[in-house]
Parts: sequence; C-alpha cells; structure tokens
Amino acid sequence: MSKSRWFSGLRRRTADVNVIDPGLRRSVRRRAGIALFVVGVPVWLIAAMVAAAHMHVILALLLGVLVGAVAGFLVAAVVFVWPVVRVIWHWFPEITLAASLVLSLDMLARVIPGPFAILALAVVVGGPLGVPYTRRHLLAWAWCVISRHRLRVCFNGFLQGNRDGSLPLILIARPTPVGERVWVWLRPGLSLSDLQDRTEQIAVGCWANEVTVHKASDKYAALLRFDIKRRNTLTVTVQSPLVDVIPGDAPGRPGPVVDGDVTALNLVDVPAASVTESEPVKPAKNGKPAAPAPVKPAREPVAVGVDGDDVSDWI
Amino acid sequence: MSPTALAAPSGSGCVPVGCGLSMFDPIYLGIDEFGHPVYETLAYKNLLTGGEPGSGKSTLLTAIAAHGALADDCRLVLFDAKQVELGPWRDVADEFVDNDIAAAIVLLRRLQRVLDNRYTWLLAQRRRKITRLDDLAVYLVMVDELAAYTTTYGTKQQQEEFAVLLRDLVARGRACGIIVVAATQRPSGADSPPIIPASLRDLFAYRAAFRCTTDDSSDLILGRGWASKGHTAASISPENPGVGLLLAEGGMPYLFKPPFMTDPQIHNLVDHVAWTRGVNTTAVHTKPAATPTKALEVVAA
Repeated sequence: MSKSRWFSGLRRRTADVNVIDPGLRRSVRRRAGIALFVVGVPVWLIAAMVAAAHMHVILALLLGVLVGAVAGFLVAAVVFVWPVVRVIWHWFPEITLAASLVLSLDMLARVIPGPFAILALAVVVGGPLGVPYTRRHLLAWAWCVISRHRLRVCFNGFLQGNRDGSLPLILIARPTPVGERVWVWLRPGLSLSDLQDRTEQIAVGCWANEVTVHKASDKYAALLRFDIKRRNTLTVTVQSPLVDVIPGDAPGRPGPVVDGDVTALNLVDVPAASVTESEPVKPAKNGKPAAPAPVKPAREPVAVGVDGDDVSDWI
Repeated sequence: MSPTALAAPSGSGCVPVGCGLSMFDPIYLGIDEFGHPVYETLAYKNLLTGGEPGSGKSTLLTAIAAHGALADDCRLVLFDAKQVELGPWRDVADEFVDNDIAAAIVLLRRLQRVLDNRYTWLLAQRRRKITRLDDLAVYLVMVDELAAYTTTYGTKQQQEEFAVLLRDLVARGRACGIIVVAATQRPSGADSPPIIPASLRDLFAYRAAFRCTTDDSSDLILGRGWASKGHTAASISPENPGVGLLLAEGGMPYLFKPPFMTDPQIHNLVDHVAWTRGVNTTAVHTKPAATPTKALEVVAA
C-alpha cells in the first residue's frame, strides 16, 4: 500500500474523532457570537459615557470600543469553551488522578532513581488495594466515576435533550450502601418524568440492578438525584430496639387456660359425620315410598363468599 | 374481653416503671435500603399495609403494636380474624375481637361514640385536635386481615356496616386520637364487594406495600402510577420476605424492612406491659367449636 494512501486513511480515521458533537459546536459558535455583541455593545456604550466625562467624546468612544471588545470577547470565550469545560468536568477525576500520578512520579524521580520511583509509587497506590477495608472504599469511589460516565452514555444514547443538543449536566457522585448516588442538572426541554420513564434502560446502561430518580431539591426542579442500586442490603434481620428497652425482671403471666382439652388436631381425628348434617325425611305421597334423606355437606368444599366470590386467596 | 385491674405481685420487691414512650413519638419501623433507621410518627395518621401471604405485613403490625403497648398514652384495640398474629397482645389490649363480626361491629360503634364525644369536647375547648398534653388515651385500632370482615364473615349487611364504620374512624379519627392500622392480603378493588372499598383505601395517608404478585396490586396499595415510576412491590424478591415499600412523609415510596421480634421477645414484652399496666391476664379461652362456624352457616344459607 502506498504511503499517500496510508496517510490519507490515517487522516480520515483521525478526522472522525469528535470530542464535541458537530451540531453542538455550531450552536456554541453562534451563541458565542451573539454573546460578543450582547455584552460588547452595552459595555462599549457605558464605558464611553463614563469616559466622556473625563475626555473628548471621540476618544471616549474609542476607549469604549476597546473596553466593550475586551468584555465581549471574554464572555464569548467562556461561552465558546463551555462544551470543552464540560468535557473536562466529566473527566475531571481521571485528569486529576493522572496529573497527580505524573507529578508524584516526577517529584520522586528527582530524589530516587527512576525504576525505584515507579516501584515506590506502585506500592503507595496499590498498597491500599491489598487491604479489604480500603479496597472496598476505593472500589466504591471508582464505581462513582464509572457511573458518571455510564449515565452520560445513557443520556447520549436515548435522551432527546433540547434543540441545541445539550444534555443534562452530571454533577457529583458519592457511594451509598447499595451503589452510587449521582446528582444531575437538567437542561430546558427535559423533566423528571422523562427520566423516570427510562429507569430500566438507565439501569442497563449503568450495569446496575435498578435505578430510581428523585427530585433533589424543593427549590429547583432541574436538580435530580439518581440512585444506582447494585446491592441488596435488606437481607439482614432487623432487630427491634424495644426489646432492650424493657428490663427482664417482669413476672411471667400465667399461660392461657383453655376450657376443656383441645383435641382433633389432625384430619384423621375429624370424621366426616361430625361436619355433615342431614335434612328431615319427606313423607310418602301417593303411595310411593319416601325418598331417603339426602346427606349434604354443611358447606361448599371450596371457600366461597356471600355473593359467590372466590375468597380462597385470603383463607 | 376487657382487662381488669390486679394488685401488684407481692414479694416482687420493685415497682414497675413504664418506658415513657408515647404514641406521639416517632415509631421505629426498621431500616431503609441505605441503612438509615426509619422513624415515622403515626399520630394524626392512618396506615394501610398489604401484600401476599407471608410477605411481612404482620412483622410491621407487631412493631407498631409493640410501640403502642409500651406507650403510656396508648390503648390497643385489636381485630384479628386469624387470632394468632395479634393474639399475643390480647392480654394488654383494651379490646380484642377475633372472627366474630357482630362483636366487631359493636366495638366499632363504641369507638364511633368515643369519636363523637371527643369532637364535642374539642369543640368546647375551641380546638381542632388533641395533643399529648391532653392526657387522653390514643386508641390504636389494628385490623389484621381486613378482608375477613369485609367479605368473608357475616352477612352482606354486616360487612357493609363494618366497612362504613371503619371508614368513619379512618376519616374522622385522626384528630381525636384514634389511629387505624389495617392489613390485607389482597387489596383488589375490582371484586364485588371490594375487599377494601376505594373510598376507604384512599383515606389512608401512610401505605406499606409488601411483596405483591403484580404491579396492579402494588398500585392498589401505594396508589395509582407508582409502578410506572419504578416503585413497585412486585419487584421485591420472594426470597427476601419482610421487605416492603413505605409511602409516608416525603411523598416517595422507599424500600424498608421492619424489625422482627421472635415469639419469646413478644411475650417478654407483653409480660412487662401487663406488669406495668397491672392487667389481669388470667383469661379463659374457649376452645373452637366442633360444629360449623358462623361463616359456614352463611355460605350454607
């Protein structure tokens, strides 16, 4: 394969990598331009009015243009880089961890030789993973990081978002006994019910057993709380504290006294005759012999309510 | 059967002292799935619990009955058609009714009279509800297996009257110190007659749904729409009895597990309560009759 074809393929592959969605990028550029004028023009006018009190009008106008341009470009820059800031926020734990490792390695390498610096860093970082107590806590926090990404994947996968394509902002996450709890800020166009209808899909996306979504604030409907559940903590027997409240020196009560002996505890001790009743024999008519009295059970074999309703569920 | 006063046991050498609990205090109902203790105040509220057999409803009832028995200002009024779930508490209850619906109706009428009299008293005081400072007893009315009184035992008129009287207690009893806690296995509203009429079911502020077979059954207890939001008791594992969904203060159902008390623990607690309340516990229990009971007579009619 020729070099030009290989390089063109490489360029094509690298051109396909988009950190920011193209639609979002266009929207952000448009908003940054609007912000430049919306902020720059009023600041220019205000600055020119203030400066006009101290200098010539034309000079004041020129100074106002300079001040307005600086202010407008600053705000436009913030609006323009916001998607990048958001990506950095999403990857903030990993970026921080990586930067800390690199910095630590650099500082260690200045004191001890390179291989030993790496070994020392590995012991410091990997040591806590060997202790069960710290390993559990570290894994819990690791799942918090993973869950934030999995939620973002879910939102990208099936949330419509708003017209600009911006999806909910994932805030912080912390471990809980059953999994993780993640706070999310919704954008206009989304609501709590939209996400409550998707909890099963979110659970699949987050590799969890169950996900519930609740309002996290009485003041802001946009602030939601996701409870990602991976473990069942209600398998233990819960003890009642009232047992420990009472002292153990109460005199015992006499046992219940039953009038007579309680017998017939088994089916074989209850003959059919004891639960059946017969109707009176009808007198003979027209010389025909009287029909034998039919023996019918005192009740239907199947439990039936007054109106014939099947009440067997609760007997 | 009403308890009667009995002199303190001689030779005990000590005076029984109550725990100082009150029905106006929060009741410990177990833990939630995050390990946090669940405390809810039942004063001025009513609670409905439902779920399939063996799902843990009686565990919750026992926890509430235990608190009520230990509370100085609480009187237990128990309706238990099965006789064994709330039966351990009958010695310290003011009234206990088993499957005799006629006696149940009489007792409800008495409670209704108490309710009317208390509202008259409140009216004279120019107040709208009682407080713990009033030194009035709070009646904890517990009904285990509500279906037994609304669809199984007695005539249709008796069942309807029971439902009407209970509904009145649930609707008007909160402010005057009558708390109703009801349990049922099958809260379906489509039956004729319904086990729990919708007009009665909707009056319960607190709901506890234990394991149910379908989302509809769970919604019948918690309220319509919760299953579609992911809160359904049908998702509770049948291998983990005792876990339920509680809908109380906060407005959102959450998983919880009430505390479990063994039979010896219950009887020790009842012994203590009987001692502190000074009740006569030498009750004579009549053995079950060999002839068909009233329920069977109704079916045969």
